[in-house]
Amino acid sequence: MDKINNLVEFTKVSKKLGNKQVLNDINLTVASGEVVGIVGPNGCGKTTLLRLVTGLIYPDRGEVRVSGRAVRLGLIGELPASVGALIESPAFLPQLSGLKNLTILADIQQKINEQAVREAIKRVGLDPDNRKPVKSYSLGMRQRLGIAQAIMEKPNILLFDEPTNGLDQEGKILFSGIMKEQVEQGAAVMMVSHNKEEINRYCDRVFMIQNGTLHPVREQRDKSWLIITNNLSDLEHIYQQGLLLQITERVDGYPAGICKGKWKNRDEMMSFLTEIGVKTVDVREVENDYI
Amino acid sequence: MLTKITKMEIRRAFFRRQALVAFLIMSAFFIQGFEAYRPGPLVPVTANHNFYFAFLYAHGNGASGLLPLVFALIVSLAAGDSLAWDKKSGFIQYVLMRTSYKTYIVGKMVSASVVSFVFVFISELFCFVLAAIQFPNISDINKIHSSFIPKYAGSLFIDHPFLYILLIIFNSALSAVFISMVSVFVSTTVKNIYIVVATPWLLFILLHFVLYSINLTRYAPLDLVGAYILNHFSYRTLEIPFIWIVLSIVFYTLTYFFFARNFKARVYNG
Repeated sequence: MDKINNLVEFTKVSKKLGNKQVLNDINLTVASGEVVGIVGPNGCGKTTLLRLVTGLIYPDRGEVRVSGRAVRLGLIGELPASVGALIESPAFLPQLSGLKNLTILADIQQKINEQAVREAIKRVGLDPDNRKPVKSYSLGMRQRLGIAQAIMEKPNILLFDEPTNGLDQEGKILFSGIMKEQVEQGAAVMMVSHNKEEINRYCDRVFMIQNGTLHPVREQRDKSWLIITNNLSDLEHIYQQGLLLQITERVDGYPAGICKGKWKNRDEMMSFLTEIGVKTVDVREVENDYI
Repeated sequence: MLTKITKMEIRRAFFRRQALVAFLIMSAFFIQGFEAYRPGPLVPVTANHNFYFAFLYAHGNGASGLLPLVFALIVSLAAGDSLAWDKKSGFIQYVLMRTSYKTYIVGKMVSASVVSFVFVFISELFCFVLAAIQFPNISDINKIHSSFIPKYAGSLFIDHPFLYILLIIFNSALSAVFISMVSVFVSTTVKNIYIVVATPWLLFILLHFVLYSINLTRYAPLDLVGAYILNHFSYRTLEIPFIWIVLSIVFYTLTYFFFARNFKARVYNG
Protein backbone atom coordinates (compact mmCIF):
# COMPACT_ATOMS: atom_id res chain seq x y z
CA MET A 1 0.00 0.00 0.00
CA ASP A 2 1.19 3.54 -0.67
CA LYS A 3 2.70 4.80 2.58
CA ILE A 4 0.99 8.17 2.24
CA ASN A 5 -2.40 6.44 2.53
CA ASN A 6 -1.45 4.74 5.81
CA LEU A 7 -3.24 6.84 8.35
CA VAL A 8 -2.29 4.63 11.30
CA GLU A 9 1.07 2.92 11.71
CA PHE A 10 2.26 0.80 14.61
CA THR A 11 6.00 0.13 14.48
CA LYS A 12 7.42 -2.37 16.98
CA VAL A 13 5.00 -1.24 19.64
CA SER A 14 5.17 -2.82 23.06
CA LYS A 15 3.11 -1.97 26.09
CA LYS A 16 3.07 -3.23 29.64
CA LEU A 17 0.12 -2.62 31.94
CA GLY A 18 1.08 -3.25 35.53
CA ASN A 19 3.11 -6.47 35.48
CA LYS A 20 1.56 -7.82 32.32
CA GLN A 21 3.22 -7.46 28.90
CA VAL A 22 0.02 -6.73 27.01
CA LEU A 23 1.46 -5.92 23.61
CA ASN A 24 4.76 -7.12 22.23
CA ASP A 25 6.42 -5.83 19.09
CA ILE A 26 3.25 -4.94 17.22
CA ASN A 27 3.53 -3.87 13.61
CA LEU A 28 0.37 -2.79 11.87
CA THR A 29 -0.82 -0.26 9.32
CA VAL A 30 -4.31 0.90 8.53
CA ALA A 31 -4.86 2.69 5.26
CA SER A 32 -7.41 5.25 4.24
CA GLY A 33 -10.69 3.55 3.34
CA GLU A 34 -9.67 0.32 5.04
CA VAL A 35 -11.33 -1.50 7.92
CA VAL A 36 -9.04 -3.56 10.12
CA GLY A 37 -10.55 -5.91 12.65
CA ILE A 38 -8.85 -6.93 15.88
CA VAL A 39 -10.04 -10.04 17.69
CA GLY A 40 -8.82 -12.01 20.64
CA PRO A 41 -9.76 -13.24 24.10
CA ASN A 42 -10.71 -10.89 26.93
CA GLY A 43 -7.77 -8.97 28.34
CA CYS A 44 -5.47 -9.68 25.41
CA GLY A 45 -4.82 -6.02 24.60
CA LYS A 46 -7.35 -5.15 21.91
CA THR A 47 -8.62 -2.03 23.67
CA THR A 48 -5.06 -1.07 24.60
CA LEU A 49 -4.21 -1.07 20.91
CA LEU A 50 -7.01 1.38 20.18
CA ARG A 51 -6.08 3.60 23.11
CA LEU A 52 -2.54 3.89 21.79
CA VAL A 53 -3.89 5.57 18.66
CA THR A 54 -5.82 8.15 20.68
CA GLY A 55 -2.70 9.08 22.63
CA LEU A 56 -4.45 8.45 25.93
CA ILE A 57 -1.74 5.91 26.66
CA TYR A 58 1.76 5.77 25.33
CA PRO A 59 3.80 2.78 24.18
CA ASP A 60 6.75 1.60 26.28
CA ARG A 61 8.70 0.83 23.11
CA GLY A 62 8.13 1.52 19.46
CA GLU A 63 6.05 4.19 17.85
CA VAL A 64 2.49 4.91 16.83
CA ARG A 65 2.09 7.28 13.91
CA VAL A 66 -1.06 9.03 12.84
CA SER A 67 -0.93 10.49 9.33
CA GLY A 68 2.84 10.16 9.44
CA ARG A 69 3.19 12.03 12.72
CA ALA A 70 4.29 10.24 15.87
CA VAL A 71 1.85 10.27 18.76
CA ARG A 72 3.76 11.89 21.59
CA LEU A 73 2.88 13.17 25.01
CA GLY A 74 1.20 16.52 24.70
CA LEU A 75 0.33 16.02 21.06
CA ILE A 76 -3.18 14.88 21.86
CA GLY A 77 -5.72 17.10 20.19
CA GLU A 78 -3.10 18.39 17.79
CA LEU A 79 -2.68 15.30 15.68
CA PRO A 80 -2.73 15.99 11.93
CA ALA A 81 -5.59 13.60 11.38
CA SER A 82 -8.67 13.75 13.50
CA VAL A 83 -9.55 10.67 15.49
CA GLY A 84 -13.04 9.60 16.38
CA ALA A 85 -13.28 6.87 18.96
CA LEU A 86 -15.79 4.82 20.83
CA ILE A 87 -13.70 2.80 23.26
CA GLU A 88 -15.28 0.71 26.00
CA SER A 89 -18.57 2.07 27.35
CA PRO A 90 -19.76 5.46 26.11
CA ALA A 91 -18.95 8.08 28.75
CA PHE A 92 -21.01 11.22 28.99
CA LEU A 93 -21.91 13.82 31.59
CA PRO A 94 -24.99 12.17 33.09
CA GLN A 95 -26.86 15.32 34.04
CA LEU A 96 -26.77 16.83 30.55
CA SER A 97 -28.74 15.90 27.44
CA GLY A 98 -27.17 14.09 24.50
CA LEU A 99 -27.11 17.25 22.42
CA LYS A 100 -25.49 19.25 25.24
CA ASN A 101 -22.81 16.61 25.72
CA LEU A 102 -21.88 16.53 22.06
CA THR A 103 -22.07 20.30 21.71
CA ILE A 104 -19.55 20.68 24.55
CA LEU A 105 -17.18 18.35 22.69
CA ALA A 106 -17.77 20.05 19.36
CA ASP A 107 -17.04 23.44 20.93
CA ILE A 108 -13.49 22.38 21.74
CA GLN A 109 -12.09 22.31 18.23
CA GLN A 110 -15.04 24.11 16.61
CA LYS A 111 -14.73 22.09 13.42
CA ILE A 112 -18.49 21.72 13.27
CA ASN A 113 -21.47 23.78 14.37
CA GLU A 114 -24.57 22.76 16.33
CA GLN A 115 -26.44 21.87 13.16
CA ALA A 116 -23.80 19.26 12.30
CA VAL A 117 -24.04 17.86 15.83
CA ARG A 118 -27.80 17.57 15.43
CA GLU A 119 -27.36 15.78 12.13
CA ALA A 120 -24.95 13.32 13.69
CA ILE A 121 -27.42 12.59 16.48
CA LYS A 122 -30.22 12.09 13.94
CA ARG A 123 -27.94 9.87 11.88
CA VAL A 124 -27.73 7.39 14.73
CA GLY A 125 -31.49 7.39 15.17
CA LEU A 126 -31.73 9.62 18.24
CA ASP A 127 -33.74 12.80 18.68
CA PRO A 128 -31.48 15.84 19.12
CA ASP A 129 -34.32 17.72 20.82
CA ASN A 130 -34.62 15.10 23.55
CA ARG A 131 -33.88 17.08 26.70
CA LYS A 132 -33.68 14.11 28.99
CA PRO A 133 -30.31 13.74 30.69
CA VAL A 134 -28.04 10.97 29.48
CA LYS A 135 -28.39 9.19 32.81
CA SER A 136 -31.94 8.27 31.76
CA TYR A 137 -30.75 6.75 28.46
CA SER A 138 -30.84 3.02 27.84
CA LEU A 139 -27.62 1.16 26.94
CA GLY A 140 -28.55 1.20 23.28
CA MET A 141 -29.21 4.94 23.31
CA ARG A 142 -25.88 5.64 24.97
CA GLN A 143 -24.15 3.45 22.43
CA ARG A 144 -25.81 5.34 19.61
CA LEU A 145 -24.77 8.63 21.20
CA GLY A 146 -21.24 7.26 21.49
CA ILE A 147 -21.22 6.48 17.78
CA ALA A 148 -22.54 9.98 17.03
CA GLN A 149 -19.73 11.40 19.15
CA ALA A 150 -17.18 9.41 17.19
CA ILE A 151 -18.39 10.38 13.71
CA MET A 152 -19.70 13.91 14.16
CA GLU A 153 -16.46 15.72 13.30
CA LYS A 154 -15.91 13.60 10.18
CA PRO A 155 -12.71 12.04 11.47
CA ASN A 156 -9.98 10.54 9.29
CA ILE A 157 -9.53 7.68 11.74
CA LEU A 158 -12.27 5.77 13.49
CA LEU A 159 -11.73 3.47 16.42
CA PHE A 160 -14.59 1.24 17.44
CA ASP A 161 -14.63 -1.07 20.41
CA GLU A 162 -17.66 -3.41 20.26
CA PRO A 163 -19.63 -0.73 18.42
CA THR A 164 -22.90 -2.63 18.15
CA ASN A 165 -22.99 -3.56 21.83
CA GLY A 166 -26.53 -2.95 23.08
CA LEU A 167 -27.88 -1.94 19.66
CA ASP A 168 -31.17 -3.32 18.44
CA GLN A 169 -31.66 -4.48 14.86
CA GLU A 170 -32.52 -1.00 13.67
CA GLY A 171 -29.41 0.35 15.37
CA LYS A 172 -27.24 -2.28 13.69
CA ILE A 173 -28.66 -1.38 10.29
CA LEU A 174 -27.95 2.29 10.96
CA PHE A 175 -24.42 1.39 12.01
CA SER A 176 -23.91 -0.55 8.78
CA GLY A 177 -24.88 2.50 6.79
CA ILE A 178 -22.56 4.68 8.85
CA MET A 179 -19.65 2.29 8.30
CA LYS A 180 -20.23 2.28 4.57
CA GLU A 181 -20.31 6.10 4.47
CA GLN A 182 -17.18 6.46 6.57
CA VAL A 183 -15.19 4.00 4.46
CA GLU A 184 -16.35 5.66 1.26
CA GLN A 185 -15.19 8.99 2.68
CA GLY A 186 -11.74 7.47 3.18
CA ALA A 187 -11.68 6.94 6.93
CA ALA A 188 -9.24 4.39 8.28
CA VAL A 189 -11.20 2.20 10.67
CA MET A 190 -9.98 -0.08 13.43
CA MET A 191 -12.62 -2.28 14.95
CA VAL A 192 -12.51 -4.53 17.97
CA SER A 193 -15.28 -7.04 18.30
CA HIS A 194 -16.12 -10.45 19.70
CA ASN A 195 -18.87 -10.72 17.12
CA LYS A 196 -17.61 -12.88 14.25
CA GLU A 197 -20.40 -11.83 11.94
CA GLU A 198 -19.56 -8.19 12.52
CA ILE A 199 -15.88 -8.78 11.86
CA ASN A 200 -16.58 -10.72 8.69
CA ARG A 201 -19.06 -8.17 7.46
CA TYR A 202 -17.07 -5.00 7.95
CA CYS A 203 -13.39 -5.84 7.99
CA ASP A 204 -11.03 -5.98 5.05
CA ARG A 205 -8.24 -7.46 7.15
CA VAL A 206 -8.48 -9.23 10.48
CA PHE A 207 -5.82 -9.82 13.11
CA MET A 208 -5.83 -11.73 16.34
CA ILE A 209 -3.89 -10.72 19.43
CA GLN A 210 -2.46 -13.74 21.17
CA ASN A 211 0.12 -13.57 23.94
CA GLY A 212 0.67 -9.93 23.09
CA THR A 213 1.52 -10.48 19.46
CA LEU A 214 -0.50 -9.83 16.35
CA HIS A 215 -1.40 -12.71 14.07
CA PRO A 216 -3.12 -12.30 10.72
CA VAL A 217 -6.44 -14.10 10.48
CA ARG A 218 -7.49 -12.71 7.16
CA GLU A 219 -5.09 -10.73 4.99
CA GLN A 220 -7.54 -9.55 2.43
CA ARG A 221 -11.24 -9.25 2.14
CA ASP A 222 -12.87 -11.35 -0.49
CA LYS A 223 -14.13 -9.23 -3.33
CA SER A 224 -17.35 -9.95 -5.14
CA TRP A 225 -17.40 -10.16 -8.95
CA LEU A 226 -20.34 -10.13 -11.31
CA ILE A 227 -19.48 -12.49 -14.17
CA ILE A 228 -21.59 -12.24 -17.31
CA THR A 229 -21.15 -15.11 -19.75
CA ASN A 230 -22.56 -16.17 -23.09
CA ASN A 231 -24.12 -19.32 -21.74
CA LEU A 232 -24.95 -21.17 -18.54
CA SER A 233 -22.35 -23.86 -19.11
CA ASP A 234 -19.59 -21.28 -18.57
CA LEU A 235 -21.08 -20.44 -15.19
CA GLU A 236 -21.29 -24.16 -14.42
CA HIS A 237 -17.62 -24.49 -15.30
CA ILE A 238 -16.74 -21.78 -12.79
CA TYR A 239 -18.80 -23.59 -10.15
CA GLN A 240 -16.95 -26.82 -10.87
CA GLN A 241 -13.67 -25.11 -9.90
CA GLY A 242 -14.92 -25.21 -6.31
CA LEU A 243 -15.65 -21.49 -6.15
CA LEU A 244 -18.62 -19.96 -4.40
CA LEU A 245 -20.90 -18.82 -7.18
CA GLN A 246 -24.36 -17.34 -6.77
CA ILE A 247 -26.51 -17.24 -9.91
CA THR A 248 -28.24 -13.90 -10.32
CA GLU A 249 -30.69 -12.33 -12.71
CA ARG A 250 -29.67 -12.17 -16.34
CA VAL A 251 -27.88 -9.00 -17.40
CA ASP A 252 -28.94 -7.76 -20.83
CA GLY A 253 -30.24 -11.23 -21.52
CA TYR A 254 -26.96 -12.96 -20.66
CA PRO A 255 -26.55 -15.42 -17.77
CA ALA A 256 -24.75 -13.93 -14.78
CA GLY A 257 -23.46 -14.92 -11.38
CA ILE A 258 -21.62 -13.38 -8.43
CA CYS A 259 -18.38 -14.98 -7.37
CA LYS A 260 -16.29 -14.13 -4.28
CA GLY A 261 -12.55 -14.47 -4.15
CA LYS A 262 -9.21 -12.90 -3.40
CA TRP A 263 -8.50 -11.49 -6.85
CA LYS A 264 -7.17 -8.00 -6.34
CA ASN A 265 -8.44 -6.42 -9.53
CA ARG A 266 -10.35 -7.09 -12.74
CA ASP A 267 -7.26 -8.07 -14.69
CA GLU A 268 -6.44 -10.80 -12.20
CA MET A 269 -9.99 -12.04 -12.37
CA MET A 270 -9.99 -12.05 -16.17
CA SER A 271 -6.67 -13.94 -16.21
CA PHE A 272 -8.10 -16.61 -13.98
CA LEU A 273 -11.24 -17.02 -16.08
CA THR A 274 -9.17 -17.28 -19.24
CA GLU A 275 -6.97 -19.90 -17.58
CA ILE A 276 -9.94 -22.09 -16.78
CA GLY A 277 -11.36 -21.60 -20.26
CA VAL A 278 -14.35 -19.42 -19.47
CA LYS A 279 -15.36 -16.83 -22.04
CA THR A 280 -17.10 -13.79 -20.61
CA VAL A 281 -19.22 -10.94 -21.89
CA ASP A 282 -18.19 -8.76 -18.97
CA VAL A 283 -16.74 -8.91 -15.48
CA ARG A 284 -17.54 -6.24 -12.91
CA GLU A 285 -16.52 -5.72 -9.32
CA VAL A 286 -19.51 -5.59 -7.00
CA GLU A 287 -19.43 -3.24 -3.97
CA ASN A 288 -19.24 -4.88 -0.58
CA ASP A 289 -22.67 -4.91 0.92
CA TYR A 290 -22.45 -4.31 4.68
CA ILE A 291 -26.09 -5.06 5.15
CA MET B 1 -7.67 26.59 21.76
CA LEU B 2 -7.39 27.72 25.40
CA THR B 3 -9.95 30.46 24.82
CA LYS B 4 -12.33 27.94 23.25
CA ILE B 5 -11.97 25.51 26.16
CA THR B 6 -12.41 28.28 28.73
CA LYS B 7 -15.48 29.70 27.00
CA MET B 8 -16.96 26.23 26.72
CA GLU B 9 -16.34 25.54 30.40
CA ILE B 10 -17.79 28.88 31.50
CA ARG B 11 -20.93 28.30 29.43
CA ARG B 12 -21.22 24.84 30.86
CA ALA B 13 -20.87 26.03 34.47
CA PHE B 14 -23.31 28.89 34.33
CA PHE B 15 -26.10 26.98 32.65
CA ARG B 16 -26.47 24.13 35.05
CA ARG B 17 -28.88 23.74 37.92
CA GLN B 18 -26.14 23.67 40.56
CA ALA B 19 -25.25 27.30 39.91
CA LEU B 20 -28.88 28.28 40.48
CA VAL B 21 -29.06 26.21 43.66
CA ALA B 22 -25.86 27.84 44.94
CA PHE B 23 -27.26 31.28 44.15
CA LEU B 24 -30.48 30.52 46.02
CA ILE B 25 -28.56 29.24 49.05
CA MET B 26 -26.39 32.34 49.11
CA SER B 27 -29.42 34.60 48.83
CA ALA B 28 -31.13 32.66 51.63
CA PHE B 29 -28.20 33.20 53.97
CA PHE B 30 -28.08 36.88 53.15
CA ILE B 31 -31.80 37.13 53.86
CA GLN B 32 -31.21 35.30 57.15
CA GLY B 33 -28.56 37.87 58.00
CA PHE B 34 -30.85 40.76 57.06
CA GLU B 35 -33.55 39.40 59.33
CA ALA B 36 -31.06 39.03 62.18
CA TYR B 37 -29.94 42.62 61.62
CA ARG B 38 -33.45 44.05 61.43
CA PRO B 39 -34.23 46.00 64.62
CA GLY B 40 -37.30 45.19 66.62
CA PRO B 41 -40.48 47.28 66.15
CA LEU B 42 -39.86 49.31 69.29
CA VAL B 43 -36.21 50.13 68.48
CA PRO B 44 -35.76 53.62 67.00
CA VAL B 45 -34.03 53.78 63.62
CA THR B 46 -30.83 55.83 63.71
CA ALA B 47 -28.06 56.70 61.30
CA ASN B 48 -26.30 53.56 62.58
CA HIS B 49 -29.02 51.54 60.96
CA ASN B 50 -28.80 51.44 57.16
CA PHE B 51 -28.58 49.04 54.22
CA TYR B 52 -24.77 49.21 54.08
CA PHE B 53 -24.52 47.85 57.56
CA ALA B 54 -27.30 45.36 56.87
CA PHE B 55 -25.24 43.98 54.00
CA LEU B 56 -22.03 43.90 56.04
CA TYR B 57 -23.84 42.26 58.94
CA ALA B 58 -25.27 39.52 56.76
CA HIS B 59 -21.90 39.18 55.07
CA GLY B 60 -20.49 37.83 58.30
CA ASN B 61 -19.70 40.97 60.14
CA GLY B 62 -22.54 40.46 62.58
CA ALA B 63 -22.82 37.92 65.36
CA SER B 64 -25.77 36.23 63.69
CA GLY B 65 -24.47 36.44 60.14
CA LEU B 66 -24.05 32.81 59.16
CA LEU B 67 -22.81 33.24 55.59
CA PRO B 68 -19.09 32.68 56.34
CA LEU B 69 -19.92 29.26 57.75
CA VAL B 70 -21.29 28.07 54.42
CA PHE B 71 -19.59 30.40 51.95
CA ALA B 72 -16.97 27.89 50.86
CA LEU B 73 -19.61 25.21 50.31
CA ILE B 74 -21.71 27.52 48.16
CA VAL B 75 -18.75 28.44 45.96
CA SER B 76 -17.63 24.83 45.51
CA LEU B 77 -21.15 23.87 44.55
CA ALA B 78 -21.28 26.60 41.92
CA ALA B 79 -17.84 26.29 40.43
CA GLY B 80 -15.62 23.60 41.88
CA ASP B 81 -16.70 20.17 40.66
CA SER B 82 -16.44 20.30 36.88
CA LEU B 83 -13.15 18.38 36.70
CA ALA B 84 -14.43 15.77 39.12
CA TRP B 85 -17.51 15.20 36.96
CA ASP B 86 -15.40 14.84 33.84
CA LYS B 87 -13.22 12.21 35.52
CA LYS B 88 -16.02 10.37 37.30
CA SER B 89 -18.14 10.06 34.15
CA GLY B 90 -15.23 9.26 31.85
CA PHE B 91 -16.12 12.26 29.69
CA ILE B 92 -12.56 13.47 30.14
CA GLN B 93 -11.28 10.92 27.62
CA TYR B 94 -13.41 12.46 24.86
CA VAL B 95 -12.17 15.91 25.78
CA LEU B 96 -8.53 14.81 25.92
CA MET B 97 -8.80 13.38 22.41
CA ARG B 98 -9.63 16.86 21.21
CA THR B 99 -7.19 19.00 23.16
CA SER B 100 -3.89 18.74 25.01
CA TYR B 101 -3.86 17.97 28.72
CA LYS B 102 -2.13 21.29 29.42
CA THR B 103 -4.80 23.30 27.63
CA TYR B 104 -7.48 21.26 29.36
CA ILE B 105 -6.31 21.82 32.93
CA VAL B 106 -5.45 25.48 32.40
CA GLY B 107 -8.87 25.96 30.82
CA LYS B 108 -10.49 24.27 33.81
CA MET B 109 -8.61 26.46 36.28
CA VAL B 110 -9.30 29.68 34.41
CA SER B 111 -12.97 28.87 33.93
CA ALA B 112 -13.42 27.83 37.58
CA SER B 113 -11.80 31.11 38.63
CA VAL B 114 -13.93 33.19 36.30
CA VAL B 115 -17.15 31.38 37.19
CA SER B 116 -16.54 31.59 40.94
CA PHE B 117 -15.53 35.25 40.76
CA VAL B 118 -18.47 36.29 38.62
CA PHE B 119 -20.90 34.10 40.55
CA VAL B 120 -19.99 35.63 43.91
CA PHE B 121 -19.74 39.16 42.54
CA ILE B 122 -23.16 39.07 40.93
CA SER B 123 -24.81 37.18 43.79
CA GLU B 124 -23.51 39.56 46.42
CA LEU B 125 -24.40 42.58 44.34
CA PHE B 126 -27.91 41.20 44.00
CA CYS B 127 -28.07 40.70 47.77
CA PHE B 128 -26.83 44.23 48.30
CA VAL B 129 -29.70 45.47 46.15
CA LEU B 130 -32.05 43.38 48.32
CA ALA B 131 -30.66 45.13 51.38
CA ALA B 132 -31.06 48.53 49.71
CA ILE B 133 -34.71 47.78 49.07
CA GLN B 134 -35.42 46.72 52.64
CA PHE B 135 -33.34 49.11 54.76
CA PRO B 136 -32.85 52.87 54.84
CA ASN B 137 -29.94 54.74 53.34
CA ILE B 138 -27.40 56.55 55.50
CA SER B 139 -29.05 59.85 56.43
CA ASP B 140 -25.89 61.53 57.68
CA ILE B 141 -22.60 59.69 57.73
CA ASN B 142 -21.24 62.02 60.40
CA LYS B 143 -23.92 60.82 62.78
CA ILE B 144 -22.74 57.22 62.64
CA HIS B 145 -21.12 56.18 65.90
CA SER B 146 -17.40 55.50 65.46
CA SER B 147 -17.75 52.01 66.85
CA PHE B 148 -19.95 51.15 63.88
CA ILE B 149 -17.49 52.36 61.24
CA PRO B 150 -15.67 49.35 59.78
CA LYS B 151 -12.07 48.90 60.90
CA TYR B 152 -11.09 47.59 57.48
CA ALA B 153 -10.65 50.50 54.99
CA GLY B 154 -12.81 52.68 57.21
CA SER B 155 -11.94 55.91 55.44
CA LEU B 156 -13.22 54.49 52.16
CA PHE B 157 -16.48 53.67 53.85
CA ILE B 158 -16.86 57.23 55.13
CA ASP B 159 -15.99 58.81 51.76
CA HIS B 160 -17.59 56.36 49.36
CA PRO B 161 -19.74 53.74 51.05
CA PHE B 162 -20.87 52.17 47.77
CA LEU B 163 -17.27 51.74 46.59
CA TYR B 164 -16.56 50.23 49.97
CA ILE B 165 -19.26 47.63 49.38
CA LEU B 166 -17.74 46.90 45.98
CA LEU B 167 -14.38 46.38 47.67
CA ILE B 168 -15.91 43.91 50.13
CA ILE B 169 -17.64 42.07 47.28
CA PHE B 170 -14.38 42.08 45.33
CA ASN B 171 -12.57 40.50 48.30
CA SER B 172 -15.28 37.85 48.57
CA ALA B 173 -15.01 37.13 44.86
CA LEU B 174 -11.25 36.68 45.19
CA SER B 175 -11.76 34.30 48.09
CA ALA B 176 -14.17 32.39 45.85
CA VAL B 177 -11.42 31.97 43.27
CA PHE B 178 -9.23 30.38 45.94
CA ILE B 179 -12.05 28.13 47.12
CA SER B 180 -12.80 26.91 43.61
CA MET B 181 -9.10 26.21 43.10
CA VAL B 182 -9.03 24.05 46.21
CA SER B 183 -11.91 22.01 44.76
CA VAL B 184 -10.21 21.67 41.38
CA PHE B 185 -6.99 20.68 43.15
CA VAL B 186 -8.77 17.96 45.10
CA SER B 187 -10.35 16.79 41.83
CA THR B 188 -6.92 16.02 40.39
CA THR B 189 -6.74 12.98 42.66
CA VAL B 190 -10.29 12.37 43.84
CA LYS B 191 -13.36 11.54 41.75
CA ASN B 192 -15.92 11.61 44.56
CA ILE B 193 -18.06 14.69 43.96
CA TYR B 194 -19.07 15.04 47.61
CA ILE B 195 -15.45 15.09 48.78
CA VAL B 196 -14.51 17.60 46.07
CA VAL B 197 -17.34 19.97 47.01
CA ALA B 198 -17.02 19.56 50.77
CA THR B 199 -13.22 19.78 51.11
CA PRO B 200 -12.80 23.58 50.91
CA TRP B 201 -15.65 24.03 53.37
CA LEU B 202 -14.24 21.50 55.84
CA LEU B 203 -10.78 22.94 55.35
CA PHE B 204 -12.05 26.42 56.19
CA ILE B 205 -13.76 25.25 59.35
CA LEU B 206 -10.93 23.00 60.49
CA LEU B 207 -8.23 25.57 59.80
CA HIS B 208 -10.28 28.24 61.53
CA PHE B 209 -10.49 26.23 64.72
CA VAL B 210 -6.85 25.16 64.57
CA LEU B 211 -5.65 28.74 64.14
CA TYR B 212 -7.89 29.93 66.94
CA SER B 213 -6.66 27.21 69.25
CA ILE B 214 -3.02 28.19 68.67
CA ASN B 215 -3.83 31.89 68.89
CA LEU B 216 -3.04 32.66 65.26
CA THR B 217 -6.43 34.15 64.61
CA ARG B 218 -5.37 36.92 62.18
CA TYR B 219 -5.61 34.55 59.21
CA ALA B 220 -8.46 32.35 60.36
CA PRO B 221 -10.41 31.62 57.14
CA LEU B 222 -13.92 32.21 58.37
CA ASP B 223 -12.88 35.65 59.62
CA LEU B 224 -11.17 36.42 56.35
CA VAL B 225 -14.49 36.07 54.52
CA GLY B 226 -16.59 38.01 56.98
CA ALA B 227 -15.50 39.28 60.35
CA TYR B 228 -12.30 40.93 59.08
CA ILE B 229 -14.35 44.04 58.35
CA LEU B 230 -14.88 44.94 61.96
CA ASN B 231 -12.39 42.92 63.95
CA HIS B 232 -9.45 44.31 65.84
CA PHE B 233 -6.64 43.21 63.52
CA SER B 234 -6.91 46.34 61.37
CA TYR B 235 -5.99 44.70 58.12
CA ARG B 236 -4.50 46.96 55.48
CA THR B 237 -6.77 47.54 52.51
CA LEU B 238 -4.70 45.46 50.07
CA GLU B 239 -3.84 42.79 52.60
CA ILE B 240 -7.05 40.82 52.20
CA PRO B 241 -7.05 40.64 48.37
CA PHE B 242 -3.32 39.93 48.49
CA ILE B 243 -3.86 36.91 50.75
CA TRP B 244 -6.46 35.43 48.40
CA ILE B 245 -4.41 36.11 45.29
CA VAL B 246 -1.30 34.48 46.74
CA LEU B 247 -3.23 31.47 47.98
CA SER B 248 -4.93 31.12 44.58
CA ILE B 249 -1.57 31.22 42.79
CA VAL B 250 -0.24 28.53 45.11
CA PHE B 251 -3.20 26.31 44.31
CA TYR B 252 -3.02 27.06 40.57
CA THR B 253 0.54 25.77 40.65
CA LEU B 254 -0.26 22.74 42.77
CA THR B 255 -3.27 21.85 40.63
CA TYR B 256 -1.33 22.06 37.37
CA PHE B 257 1.55 20.05 38.80
CA PHE B 258 -0.63 17.29 40.23
CA PHE B 259 -2.84 17.02 37.16
CA ALA B 260 0.16 16.84 34.82
CA ARG B 261 1.87 14.28 37.04
CA ASN B 262 -1.21 12.06 37.28
CA PHE B 263 -1.91 12.37 33.57
CA LYS B 264 1.64 11.42 32.59
CA ALA B 265 1.59 8.49 35.02
CA ARG B 266 -1.62 7.26 33.42
CA VAL B 267 -0.33 7.72 29.88
CA TYR B 268 2.84 5.79 30.58
CA ASN B 269 1.45 3.14 32.90
CA GLY B 270 -2.01 2.78 31.39
